[in-house]
Amino acid sequence: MPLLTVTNLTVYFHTRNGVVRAAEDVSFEIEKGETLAIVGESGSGKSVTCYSLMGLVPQPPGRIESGSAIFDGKIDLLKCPPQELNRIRGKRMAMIFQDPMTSLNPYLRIEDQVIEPLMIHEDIDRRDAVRRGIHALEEVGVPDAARRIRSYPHEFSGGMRQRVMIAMALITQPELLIADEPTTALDVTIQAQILDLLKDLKKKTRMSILLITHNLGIVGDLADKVAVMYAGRIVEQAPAAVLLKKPLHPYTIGLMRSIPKLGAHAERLQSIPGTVPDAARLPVGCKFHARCDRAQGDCTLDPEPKLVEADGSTRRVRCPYWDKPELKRTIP
Amino acid sequence: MSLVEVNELKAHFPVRAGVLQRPIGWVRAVDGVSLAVNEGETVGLVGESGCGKTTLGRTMLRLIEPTAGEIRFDGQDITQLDRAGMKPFRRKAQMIFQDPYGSLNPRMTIGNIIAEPLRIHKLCANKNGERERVAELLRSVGLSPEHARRYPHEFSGGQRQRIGIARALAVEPKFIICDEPVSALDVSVQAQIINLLQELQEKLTLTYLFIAHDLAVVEHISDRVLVMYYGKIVEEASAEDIYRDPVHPYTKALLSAVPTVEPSEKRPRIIWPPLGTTAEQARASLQQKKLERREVRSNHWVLEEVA
Repeated sequence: MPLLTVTNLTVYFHTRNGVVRAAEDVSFEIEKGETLAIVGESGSGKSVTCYSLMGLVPQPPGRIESGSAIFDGKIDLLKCPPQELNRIRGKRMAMIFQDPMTSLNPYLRIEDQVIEPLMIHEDIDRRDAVRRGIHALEEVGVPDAARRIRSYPHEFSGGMRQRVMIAMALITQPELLIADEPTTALDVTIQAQILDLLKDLKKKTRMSILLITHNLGIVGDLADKVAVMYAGRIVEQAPAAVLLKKPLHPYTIGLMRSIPKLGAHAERLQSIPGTVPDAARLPVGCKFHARCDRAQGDCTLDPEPKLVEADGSTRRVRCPYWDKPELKRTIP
Repeated sequence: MSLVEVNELKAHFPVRAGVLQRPIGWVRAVDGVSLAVNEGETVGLVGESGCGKTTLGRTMLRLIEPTAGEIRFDGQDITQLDRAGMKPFRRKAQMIFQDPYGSLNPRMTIGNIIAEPLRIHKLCANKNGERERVAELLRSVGLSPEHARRYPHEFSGGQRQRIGIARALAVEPKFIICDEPVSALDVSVQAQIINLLQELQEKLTLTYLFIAHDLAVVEHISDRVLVMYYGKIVEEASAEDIYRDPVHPYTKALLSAVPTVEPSEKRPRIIWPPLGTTAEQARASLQQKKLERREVRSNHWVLEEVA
C-alpha cells in the first residue's frame, strides 16, 4: 500500500482577476522509501500541489475544488479537521522550504526551533529534547552541534541553515518529507553536500521524499519517479531513469534540450518558443499547444488531451501524438 | 590586441566598527586580478556567491572605484579618468543585470527606458529618429515596436531581460558585461536569452564578459573561462580544457558538484575545502601565501603556491 495516494487534486484561487487554475486533476502515489520528484517551471502548480497536502493553501482565496490525498491508507489530508492534521504535520510528515535565509525565526535560538516539533508532538522533557536536538544536528553534519545549538540563525551560513531546517524536519522521524526546492538558494558545492545528505538519510531511514524542483540534474541524482507539471497539469509521469533517458511529451523533450550540458559544445541551444501561459487565462485545448513543435489542429480544441499510458504501462503522457515524433506543427 | 585589459585590480572594502567607525579590517572582494578580453570573444567568469565576481565586473566598468590596479580599454588607461573623460567609455561598455524585476524603473515606459541612454549620449537628432531607433532595438531583441508604450510590470521575466538587453545595445557598445543574465529565468526561457545573446554577438561583433554561477551555461557560451575564488582567479583556460581537464582543486570540486541528468557522466565527488580544513582556512591560505600564475599547458593558467 502506498504511503500517500493523491487522486484528482484540483486547486483554484478565486481572485479579483478571475479564477487562477493552479492545479488541475493531479494524481500520484508515493510508496514507502520512495522519492517522487515533481518537476516544473514557475507557475506550473508544483508548489501549490505540495502546499495543499500540508494544509498550507490560504483559503480564501484558494480552494481545494476536488480530490483526495490518502496518507497511510486512512487519513484524507484534504478533508481531515485541523486538529487531526496537526497531529500528522511536523510529526509523520514534515516540510523543508526553499529559502533557508527566511524560514528560520531570527529571534529564537536554533535550540528552540529544532526541538519545537518534539515539544509539541511528544511527551518529553526539555533536557531530553535538547539532547535529541543535538543528535539531529550531528546527523545532518552541523559541526560542534552541542555548542552551535545555542546560536542564532544569523550565525549560520546558508548551507548550514538548510541543514538546520532538515534537522528540524527530521527530528520526529517523519515517514514523508516534502522538500520544496531545497537547494535552489544554495551554491553548487553546498547543493551537492545537501543532496548527498538527503541520499544518505533515504538509505538509512526508508523515509519517503516528495521533492519539488526545476532542476532535472537533481532528479537524476535523487529521484525514483518523476512527474513533470505544466500549467497546473501533470503532462508526463515515469520512473526517473526512463524519463531522463527518453522523454516522450514534447514539453519534456523541449525542456531537456534547452539545458546546456557540460562538455557538449553545441553551437545553439534548442529553446522552447514563447512563455508559460498565465494560469488565469489558460488556452483552450492542450495547454502547451502554442509552444509545441508537434501541435495539430485538434490540439487547440477542448477537451484537452488526457494522461494516457505509454510504453506498456510504465509511464503516462498527456499527448495524443507522443508516439509520433516525426510530426511537424501544422497550426500557425 | 585585447579590447579590455585589467592588471592587478583590487577592490577592498573597510569593515568599520565602534563609535568612530574606524576600519578594523578589510574585505578583499577583488584581490589582484589580471585578465584580458579579446575583441569578439566571450570570457566566462564563474564562482560561488561571495567570491567577488560581481564586484570584479562592476569595478571593471568603474561602477565601483578600484582600490588599486589598472583598467585599459582599447589601449587607453581609464582608471584615472574623471567623469567627463569617462563618458565616451561609458558608451562603449555596457552592463546587463541579473534581476529583470529590479533593473527596470517601474514608472517608465519601455520606450523611455530604452531611449534614456540615447538621450544621455545625444545619439538621435529628433523625436522621430529616436522612435525609429527604439523600434529597431525592440525588434532586434525579439519584441515588437508596440511594446514601447507599455510598462515593465506587463512583461514576463524573459521579456524584461530582452528589454534590459535592448537598453544596453542602444548606445552601440563594443563590450558588454552580462552579470548572471539568465539565472533568474525559467529553464525554457534561459535558452532563448542565451541564444539571443549569441546571435547579437555575431551580428554586432560584441565582446562579452559573462558572469554566472551555472557552470554548464558558462561553458556553453564562453570561449575562455575564468574561475574565481575569494577574490582571485584560480584557474583560466579554454572552455573545453577547463571542463575536460581541470587542474586547480577548487575547479575540480566545482565541476564534480554539478548534478547531471546522465548518471554515467557523473564525476567522482571532490570535496572543497579539503577535508579537515575550513573555508576560513582555505581563504587565509589564499590570501597569505605567496601565489603565482603558472601556465600548466598552453593558455591554461593556474594560481599556485610558490615553494
